[in-house]
Amino acid sequence: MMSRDGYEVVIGLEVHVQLATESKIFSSDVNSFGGNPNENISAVTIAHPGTLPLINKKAVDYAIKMGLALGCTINRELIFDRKNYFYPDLPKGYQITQDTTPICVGGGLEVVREDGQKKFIELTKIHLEEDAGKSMHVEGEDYTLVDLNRAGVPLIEIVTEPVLRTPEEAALFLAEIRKIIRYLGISDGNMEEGSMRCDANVSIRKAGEPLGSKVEVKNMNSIRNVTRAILFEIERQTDLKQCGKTIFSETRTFNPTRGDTTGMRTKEELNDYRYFPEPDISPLSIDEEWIRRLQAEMPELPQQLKARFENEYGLPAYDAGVLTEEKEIADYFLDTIGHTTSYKAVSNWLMGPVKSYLNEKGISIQAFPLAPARLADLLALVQSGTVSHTAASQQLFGYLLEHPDESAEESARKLNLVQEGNPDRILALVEEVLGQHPDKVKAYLNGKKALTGMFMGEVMKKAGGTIDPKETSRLIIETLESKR
Amino acid sequence: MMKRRNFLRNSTLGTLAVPALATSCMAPSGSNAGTAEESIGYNEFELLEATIASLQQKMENGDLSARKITEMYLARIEAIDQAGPRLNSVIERNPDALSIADQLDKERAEGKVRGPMHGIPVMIKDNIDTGDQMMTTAGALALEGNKAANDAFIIAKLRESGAVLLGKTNLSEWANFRSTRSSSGWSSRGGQTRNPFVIDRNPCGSSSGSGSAVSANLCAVTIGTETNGSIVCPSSTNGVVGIKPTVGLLSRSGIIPISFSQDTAGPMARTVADAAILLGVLTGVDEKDSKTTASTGNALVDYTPFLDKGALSGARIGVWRSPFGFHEKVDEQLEQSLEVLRAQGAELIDIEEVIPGIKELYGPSRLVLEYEFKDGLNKYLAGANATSGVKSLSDVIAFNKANEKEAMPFFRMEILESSEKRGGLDETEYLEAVTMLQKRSREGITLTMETHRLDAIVGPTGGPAWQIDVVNGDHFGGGSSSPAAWSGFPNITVPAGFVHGLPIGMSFFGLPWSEGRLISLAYAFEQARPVRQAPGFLPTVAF
Repeated sequence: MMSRDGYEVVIGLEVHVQLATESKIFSSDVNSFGGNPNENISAVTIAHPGTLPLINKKAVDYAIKMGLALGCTINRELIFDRKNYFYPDLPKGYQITQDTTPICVGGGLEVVREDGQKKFIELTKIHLEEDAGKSMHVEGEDYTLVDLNRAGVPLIEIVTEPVLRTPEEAALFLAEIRKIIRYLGISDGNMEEGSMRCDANVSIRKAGEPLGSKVEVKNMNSIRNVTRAILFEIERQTDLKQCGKTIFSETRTFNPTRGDTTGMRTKEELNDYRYFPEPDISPLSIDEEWIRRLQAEMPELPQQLKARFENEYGLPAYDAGVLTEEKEIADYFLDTIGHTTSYKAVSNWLMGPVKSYLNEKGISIQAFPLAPARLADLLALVQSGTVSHTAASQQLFGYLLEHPDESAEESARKLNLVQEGNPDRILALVEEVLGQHPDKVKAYLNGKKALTGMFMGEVMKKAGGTIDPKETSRLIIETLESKR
Repeated sequence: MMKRRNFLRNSTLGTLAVPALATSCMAPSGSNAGTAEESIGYNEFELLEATIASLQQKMENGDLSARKITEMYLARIEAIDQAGPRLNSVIERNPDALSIADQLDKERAEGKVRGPMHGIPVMIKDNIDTGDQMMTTAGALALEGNKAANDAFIIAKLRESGAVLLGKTNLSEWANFRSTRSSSGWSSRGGQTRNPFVIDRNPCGSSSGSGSAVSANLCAVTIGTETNGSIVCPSSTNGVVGIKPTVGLLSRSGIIPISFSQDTAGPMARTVADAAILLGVLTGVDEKDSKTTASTGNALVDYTPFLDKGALSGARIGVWRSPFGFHEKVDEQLEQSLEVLRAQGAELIDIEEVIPGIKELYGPSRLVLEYEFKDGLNKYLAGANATSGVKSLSDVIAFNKANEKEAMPFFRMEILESSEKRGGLDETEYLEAVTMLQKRSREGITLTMETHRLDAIVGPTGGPAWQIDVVNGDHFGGGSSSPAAWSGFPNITVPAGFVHGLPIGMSFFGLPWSEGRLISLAYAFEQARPVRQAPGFLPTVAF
């Protein structure tokens, strides 16, 4: 993307993902969100002298899984480093992270832009580290509160190369990353709760020039806000260039209410942190066996699954995209088609009535009352013509949601929704209606073909809507034609 | 989605319909309150439920002028405030209103439109200075004749915006800081204001007239003031939107005070959009109010960009549970409202208590207010020019004693008296209490918001209106205003439903300067659950 007056935009992302392990990365403290302040902290978390960190193997598993999903090279030796800085929410005075030997290197992810263009976004690395605590400034008071519950929560940091060019690409990348971590079950990816956080490095340059000073923007708690923050930053930097001013390399914070960014601090140089290898954790070797085991546990990933839904089940790309948006929806689809081969019909029902119901109730598919087999039964009734589509979606579906244990077919009978497929009964009704309208029959035979619609209406009225319209229409025409 | 909307609409109509039908045959005979048939006539008003945008449109098209609109509202005040159901919400009409309107029409004809408030009639609470022909009295007879030399800072802003100052609204006398047995909406100068939904009911207070008047369509929007609940309660009870902004967003200079640490003015309106428009034109740093310096960089002059229907999607909202349980029908309306938030995509997190040990804070709160009232009121009264000549709180007390029959016919003035006994603001007792109150309330909200990463906390604003009772005083039914009031943080109430035909509201409060975010959430809620109805002026609730 070109900003105003021909500046090229360069964006790199740093995505922090909190891993959903039960305990923290270097201690047995509970890893959970929303508890009372300083509830989940032990001597290790608050860095009492003499305490030693012990690596949580599950966290390493999760980091490797993410690396495998993104096609990274997995480093066979796990080495941690200390990043030294002072902040009240960092009780040790340093963060245990990975500097020169991140657990995953390279790899990347393809996104499809609105214009249909595909773009591969390369990763620099993924590294493992611990989260810091949280400082809370109480507005109007002259002190800051510190909550260390979050200190020591395992994180992976996914770093992209500076290859993104538009806020749209950033949004697509984040949506895809979130989908993958949810498929892998390594995090809930909830940006609002902060279990996935994104910092954006934004700079602009004239085409062909070296990279401009990069500005890091923080504090975006939704994908939409990442887009807003990047857009604002592009405008701000372009304005500065326009006026011939210097863009400083700095960290800025996004204000979601105002939609702007404000300076927090000028950027530290890397050597300010005095990285050195963590002496309290000995290097750990990651062998073939370990990786093979994780590979075997890998689920089918959203992009693969989407391709399979298109190729194997013949779903349109749009349907496949919607159904694979959430793993649980995709699983529900797969469970349902275990009972029926009407793939497109299942897709229609999931994207239509089922989704509307979930949205209206504000629940996820896991809380959907109807089992996949029951939904398949309902579909079968429509397919066989036993129940009309309208009756199924407007009456039977709602009834089954209230009575999820009853059989679809019995419920249809109980609600009097079963369509009469018996040609004899339909024929009798047709004869009766035709007999009542001899003039109209004559008009039909004289060429007013449109009258079939009127006959159809009359017959359906008599049958109370419980007969198959297709069959009825065929019998009306047949009977009329036989009178020639 | 559509079906759900219809259901909500029908169900709210349903709750209104019950008393409406019943009262037509059950109205007490001989009551001078209008009958239900008459009340239908009260709503045959061309500007009924007019929004600022719709009035602006009509003036732009040339269908109406500011003068015509002003005349229509003045006629309506005459018809239902001074006659008919006699709401008694307006304490004084501005004799200059029509000439202001003419001036604004002239400007418009010359192609100058100042902004969205150009030509819009506004009424303000009677404790806000206007440097014109109207008095500023906080409803007190002791202040009869007090004509301010200058407009309050926010009134100067209001005039600059092109609003037509239509009049002043009645209030609970001294913004309800006189007696614990007071009747909200009663003042010795203005008498008792009524609730336009059911006129033997109380409009709550202390911005009683502002709530009653704007709800009854006596003007486009009103301004109220709050120390603790005085905007949000009457807004809720009269079925309108009220914004109590962060202390410091709107200047308090030229407003008869209770509390330097808690007081603020704020807009009251029939829609969130109207309230947002009015809020924006009133902001600004005022050297006479030190609290406003903090608003630099935090205040906006236009809050309408936050009117975002989709704002609830992905929002995280805390539900403060302890103010529930006062009235099962209020709870029911609130639960339905929460369901709407959820259906709009918000995540709800139950919070039992926002401020741990909140009950310990009510005592210190009263103490803080008494100290600050004495100090602030004495400063204000030193510049007053009332007929009575009062220049201090002790003068007011003496005046009330000397004029007991007129000034104190129903309840006394024990809060004025206990305030008078307080020392200066340098007393340890005061300093300790105010520090504790602010620390505990600010910490409580901040920790709750940060721990759960919330955008706002919601709770019931209050119960349905109680019957007017000047003999025994008010009968409050719970509320959620205190955390935002003590901390100085913002709070917005939006109509959320009806209980026996009486409106109730839901409050959204949050961190300082988050008015924009709160407005967006309140707006999205209002659009998804549009329960606001013009009041029906029923004589009583059927039983």
